[in-house]
Amino acid sequence: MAGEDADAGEAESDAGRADGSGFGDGHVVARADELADGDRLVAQVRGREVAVFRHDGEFYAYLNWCFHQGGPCCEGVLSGTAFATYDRDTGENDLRWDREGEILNCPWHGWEYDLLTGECLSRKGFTLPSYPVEVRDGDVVVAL
Amino acid sequence: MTNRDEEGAELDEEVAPEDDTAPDELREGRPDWWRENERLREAMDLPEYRPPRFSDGTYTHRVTGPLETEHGCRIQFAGVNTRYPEDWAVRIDGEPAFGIGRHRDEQGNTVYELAADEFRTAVVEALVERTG
Repeated sequence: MAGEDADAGEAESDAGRADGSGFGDGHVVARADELADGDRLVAQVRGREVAVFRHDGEFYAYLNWCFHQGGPCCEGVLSGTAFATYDRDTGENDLRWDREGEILNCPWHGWEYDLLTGECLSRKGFTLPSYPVEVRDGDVVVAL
Repeated sequence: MTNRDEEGAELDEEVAPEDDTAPDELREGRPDWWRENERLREAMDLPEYRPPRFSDGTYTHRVTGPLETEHGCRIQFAGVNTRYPEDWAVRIDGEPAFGIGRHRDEQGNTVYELAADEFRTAVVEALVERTG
């Protein structure tokens, strides 16, 4: 889920909670200035791993468990993916590489996820759990 | 009841998550996020959830909580721009203090490559160094 500009860590205890209303249980994971555009941070929060990505000025937070076998899907390469089209009338195929830097590859078995939506491109119908992110007083806060 | 992990390490007084026959009073000692994470894993059709733990089987939250209380600090496990299985950093009050190796077991659950006592020592040493 995208959030406004910002920064981030983990908080198993309540010590890392930010007190915000209407934001669920907010957890400070880093300072906003720690994450430049294109950076990511993965942190242990409440017994699970949450990844925060900064992409084009927006923040996105996802669960770091791949649907395939529970791998660290948010700690793989960010690349593009190949899109194929088939024209029934002409019988022509077209294969193009697109979305460079917006496709997450799980390092275990290569399952792909759309960074902007969490949608799994390797298996229809699966979307990574996402979390609201916001920058509050210079801190990146994730709500679980 | 004494609980031990697959290497035989004692798991404090909490029951192992795979022990569905455990008395309710033992399961009630778990933090609320434990059950939330179990439900999440079930919904994702993933292997059974087990909280992050140290190499000796001790769950991290059983160690970080008391350390945070004792020393008035906040302890986090995190990695910036890391690729699995690169080391993460243990952060104290938001500042990286020392690196920590980690891997996922066959169930996809995280195991840090320090024993609980080694971790406690490293945190205390980092705090001493910080205060000069």
